[in-house]
Amino acid sequence: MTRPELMEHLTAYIDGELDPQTRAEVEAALASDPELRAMEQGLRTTVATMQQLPAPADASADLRRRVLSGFAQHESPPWWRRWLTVPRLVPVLGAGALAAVVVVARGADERALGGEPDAIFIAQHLDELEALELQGLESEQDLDLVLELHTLEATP
Amino acid sequence: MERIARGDAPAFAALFDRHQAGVVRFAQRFLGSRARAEDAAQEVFLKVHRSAASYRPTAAFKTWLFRIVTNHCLNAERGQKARPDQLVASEEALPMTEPRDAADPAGTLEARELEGVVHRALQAMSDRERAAFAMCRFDGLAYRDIAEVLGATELAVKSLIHRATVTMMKHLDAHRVSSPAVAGAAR
Repeated sequence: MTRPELMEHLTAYIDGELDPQTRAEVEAALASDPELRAMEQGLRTTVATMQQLPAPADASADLRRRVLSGFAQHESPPWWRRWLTVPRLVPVLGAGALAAVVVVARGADERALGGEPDAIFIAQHLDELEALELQGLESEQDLDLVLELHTLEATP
Repeated sequence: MERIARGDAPAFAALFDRHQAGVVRFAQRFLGSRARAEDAAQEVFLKVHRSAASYRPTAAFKTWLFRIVTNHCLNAERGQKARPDQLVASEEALPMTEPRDAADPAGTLEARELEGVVHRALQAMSDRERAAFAMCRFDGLAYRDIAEVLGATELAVKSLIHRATVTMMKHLDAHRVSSPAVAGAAR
């Protein structure tokens, strides 16, 4: 360990914040280096002086009154605001964003199809219609009729 | 904290009474003025109330509280430096401590002189050095906790506290040369 490094460790040594190995190195250096010992003594006196300083007075009665009055005036947030903490906000926002995407996408589909509900129904059942090779269907009732034709045919 | 988040006034008062001394002590040493320290403490406790719902006991409460205090004081100090015309007068800026024995005026004078030296040394440190030094020397936080409060490594905190302690030592030494009475008070 270099001398500047040893110097840098002195305060942590006095505060008892060094690991055992570094502490042993510092103690070995202190035993053989009078300058380092003088520095350590100066730092130790400084730390002791700080501990001897009288404690600042407690908070004034006026501060206590102001803080408690501020607490009373600041209404407690509504239940949903207390519930909506960051860990909960993330999934909620995610679900909201997903719902928004779905709504926008469906809106786009509807606009693309001219906004006709029956057109959307036909688009959703296009496979069945193509399989039946039917033309001219315009509504859900038309398709129901076609899909139930076999029952009518089976009836004697 | 859950009770405070629900607006429980007695719970908030108990929290204030338990932690006000540490908050005011740190703010006073950091900001160098009793009036500014009390203003800061007021803001800090109201921030604690507003943040109570988001508090998670993943860190010690004292560490969480000191993170709020330190951030508030660092911001207040930056704001003050941006408005040098509003700097408080040096007499008002001196930290106020518990009054010494009135029957010992010499001791009171020495104590006031020592407070003045400590105040000037603290103001000579960088903001982060002063914050780390105050948490370590006046509030008894361990290096690990200070590192968490400042968002720094323990190695960085070790360096901050060492530099700050050397600064304090130099100011005390310089004053001892010019005023031997303080040397006696410090020993």
